[in-house]
Amino acid sequence: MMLAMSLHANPDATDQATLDANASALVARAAQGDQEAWNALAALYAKRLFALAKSRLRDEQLAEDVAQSVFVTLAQKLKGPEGAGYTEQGRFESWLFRIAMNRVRDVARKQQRRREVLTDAPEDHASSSAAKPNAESEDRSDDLDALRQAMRSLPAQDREVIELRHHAGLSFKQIAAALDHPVGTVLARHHRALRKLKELIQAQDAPVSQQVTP
Amino acid sequence: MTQDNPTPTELQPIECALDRLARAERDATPTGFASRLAQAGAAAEPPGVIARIGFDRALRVAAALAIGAIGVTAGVLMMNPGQSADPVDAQALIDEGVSTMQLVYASTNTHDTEDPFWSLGLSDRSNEFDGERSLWDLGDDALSAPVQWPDAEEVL
Repeated sequence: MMLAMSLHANPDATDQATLDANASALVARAAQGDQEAWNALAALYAKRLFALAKSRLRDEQLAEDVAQSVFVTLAQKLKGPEGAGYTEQGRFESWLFRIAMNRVRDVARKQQRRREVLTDAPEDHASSSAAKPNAESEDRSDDLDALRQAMRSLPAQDREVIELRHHAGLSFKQIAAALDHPVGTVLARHHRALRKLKELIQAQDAPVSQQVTP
Repeated sequence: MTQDNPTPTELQPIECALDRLARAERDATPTGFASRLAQAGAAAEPPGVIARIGFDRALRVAAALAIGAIGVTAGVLMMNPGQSADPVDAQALIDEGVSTMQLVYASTNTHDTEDPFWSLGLSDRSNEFDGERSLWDLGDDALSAPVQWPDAEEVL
């Protein structure tokens, strides 16, 4: 537990290989039903899973539900017959966030369909209204709001790379494994997404007259 | 940002802003969420058979088993015709007034019906008997059917 807390407290300073090895040890203990190991895994991944889900869904409750269902799936895979759902290859985080990303995609798709059926409203309008109940808990600084807005304009695949990189805190190698893409593709998407975000934010900052007149 | 960061200098401010945004999202995690997550993981049970193999596949397996069972049953019946009929207590029928001759006739005609005594009108109608019946009561079909006569010893 202490180990997990210390890793969580300062993940940037920890070598990725050490972190993977520690996560693997925790996973092995969790598969045996060790409650302390489950506590440690939750402390290690709760915030990252929540941030990943909330970034896409813009709904705190849905983000909680997604993170919980990811953990239930994780438990079912680990506790299945002879751990049938997971083979230890030192890539636990990639596997975990692949499950999370798939779940987020499913929920986002359902959310989108519900919006289309109920209100026939465009995505931006619906997502801003969905974010209203949690508005107080969000950071209100203008640059972060502008960044959130800009991220919604990114293509889904580029946005996933950004979210896995920054919200989930994965390395490019881990993202490549999670999305089942070559590392080069992931790097290219990340670079393209950053460039696009920069353009979008500069366009938001620029006066209206500058945007209309080149 | 992690160590494998190949981001060009001009894009690093955006990357730093993304890191700040992600940190804000992580910090907004509800209190006690980690413990709820741990409980969800620890309490989760392994999935059942249907959940593991999928509903469609489970349905196909069940259908295959059902078809197999029907096939085996049909095969057994074809190999042993007439064996499925319930055994008849001849003494009880005699006590009810059925003649020995009728019993003999019925016992020789069991190859095409599950109930050898249906042709005698005994099945489900045994309460209607109040005395000995003759072959005339059985109608034309019974009379035209070949009759194997019992040995004299059995009749007497």
